[in-house]
Amino acid sequence: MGRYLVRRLLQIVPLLFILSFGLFWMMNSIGDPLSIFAEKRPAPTGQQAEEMRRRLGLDKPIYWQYITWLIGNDWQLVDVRGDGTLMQHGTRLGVLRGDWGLSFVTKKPAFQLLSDRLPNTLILMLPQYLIVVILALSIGMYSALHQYTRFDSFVTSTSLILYSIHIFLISLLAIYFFGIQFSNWGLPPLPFNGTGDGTIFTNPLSWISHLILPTMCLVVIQVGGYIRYVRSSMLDVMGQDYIRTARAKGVSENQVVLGHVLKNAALPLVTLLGTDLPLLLTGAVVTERIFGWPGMGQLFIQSLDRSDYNVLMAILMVASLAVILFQLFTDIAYTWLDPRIRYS
Amino acid sequence: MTTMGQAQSVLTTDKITQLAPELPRRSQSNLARSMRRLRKHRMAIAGAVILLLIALWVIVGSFIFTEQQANTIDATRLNEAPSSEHPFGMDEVGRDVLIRTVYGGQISLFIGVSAAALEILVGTMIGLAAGYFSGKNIIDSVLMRLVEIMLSIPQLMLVLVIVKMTVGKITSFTILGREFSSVMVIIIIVIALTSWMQVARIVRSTVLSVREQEYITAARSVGVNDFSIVFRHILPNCLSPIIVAATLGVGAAILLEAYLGFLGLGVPAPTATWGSMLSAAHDEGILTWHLWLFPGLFIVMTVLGINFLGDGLRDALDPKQLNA
Repeated sequence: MGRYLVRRLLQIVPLLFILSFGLFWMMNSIGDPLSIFAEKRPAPTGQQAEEMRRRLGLDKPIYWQYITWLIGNDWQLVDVRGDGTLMQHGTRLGVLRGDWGLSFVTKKPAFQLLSDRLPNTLILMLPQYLIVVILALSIGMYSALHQYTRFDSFVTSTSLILYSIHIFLISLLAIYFFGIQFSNWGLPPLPFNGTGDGTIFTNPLSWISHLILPTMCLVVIQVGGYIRYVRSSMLDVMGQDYIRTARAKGVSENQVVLGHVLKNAALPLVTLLGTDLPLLLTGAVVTERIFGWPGMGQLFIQSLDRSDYNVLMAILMVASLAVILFQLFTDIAYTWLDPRIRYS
Repeated sequence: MTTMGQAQSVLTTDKITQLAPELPRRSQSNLARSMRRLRKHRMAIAGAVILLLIALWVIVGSFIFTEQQANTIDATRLNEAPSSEHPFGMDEVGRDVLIRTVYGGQISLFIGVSAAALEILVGTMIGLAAGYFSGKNIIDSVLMRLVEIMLSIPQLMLVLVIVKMTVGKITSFTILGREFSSVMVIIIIVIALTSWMQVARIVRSTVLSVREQEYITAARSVGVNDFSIVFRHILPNCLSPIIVAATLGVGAAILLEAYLGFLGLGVPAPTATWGSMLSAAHDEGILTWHLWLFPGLFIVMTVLGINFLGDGLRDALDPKQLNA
């Protein structure tokens, strides 16, 4: 197990290098990050713009820019005027030393912008995800235990319909009724834009009230798929020989369902969680936009608009790393939960 | 084996003819059997009917209304609520929402279908190559690393970045007298190039199990070349998972296009898509409900039909249910 883990971790390293170079190359083609300065008053002259370009290293070939992004340029001299007269040391430390560069727009460190927004995304995504998992486990389990009853067929068809609903329609409907029409009907309307004042610690009530609508919508669109998944894997396990053996031994029905069926049926769910959890970081792009939630997805869209590639790189790398690490966690959790699987 | 032999010897020819109606019809092809199972699947039929109605809507609609009408602006009737003259109302610049759902639907469906087709093509080719050459040379490990890399970047973000990279560098083109923005083509290619990985994995694992079968060895021993083995003997075995993936891929692509349109990187105006109509409606304000309800419902109905049909196809094409 230890050797397996080391090998997997070592495989991640080249993966990250290839990934980051590929993304960096793309970042370079999405637009000129300096175009934002052209709107400044007074507009920078051609010479000033050239100087800025050299300071930021944007005149260098792409592989050199990537090296600068990776390990910084404080060990090399930057020829600011391009004629060898004004040589300065670079200021970048590079990602490997924890410097993700500055945002071209706000001049703040990219990583700080990211870490300001990340908690907001987690606050939006984690509670709804927990609700989805709990609902899916209980409804899916009940439905599987009562297969072909009226409840079961209701659950199966409803979950397929919910599974097909997209975030737009459900959130626009929710905002229309709970956010706007509620006040016309004399009911207290639910807020649907932003987070309210303060932070979650100073003003928790406002945050919670702002969370209700987006959480509700996300639960509605996600729960269908999960219920179907839990139900079918429960049914799968219930048909296995070892369940019949357990019943034949006289194990109580509760013990069979909770100890044998649920435990084995939860295994595929672990895989699903492992692939879906990291995607929550980015899956919120559209939801955050609809509800004006200041999370990472919004930051991504704003940065993309302005070709602010240091910030974009930080977001993309953190999201990709989360995907890769969760994949590893899933595999490890699997060996732990399922003694039949052993990696060598 | 012996019991089988005895049973066969007992059955004389006339007995077989007597029994024939009750025996499963051997001559019936896999396809016919799958179609029969599909017809019995009520949800799949419902899904197919929904999709057919939507296809009729966008096709017949375009014979009744011209594209010109879809873009005609009546500045005196901005955001007008649905009436008998304009059943879906007017949009934020005074265009008829109903006609725009017709033409928007054409673009959305076209993007969905062609992106899924391209996705399947790329995924199948890569999966076939990886599976067939697995263990023989490095093609498999290179391709599987590529799959891993592609899967670790969140798809929506990757699509947004690539669309942003390429937008603005190309112009529009004209087919059948209608002008299309090339952004549409880019969106199709980008969606396909960021969603083929699952198909490649399914195809590869099917190939890995099929290529050890005796009939492949037999084919090779009589001198069939690699190309024919892959395309004539292995590929047909992968068809069922590919068909299911293609069906579901259409729905995923339509949704992705809607997300792009909503985030402002979709097909540019004045061309309508269901996604860009939603986006405009959201900017205009949610109170004018007729702007977002109809395109939103069309997307839901399409995805619903696709999921119903895909579910039925999965059951119908499952080789484990041979005598259903």
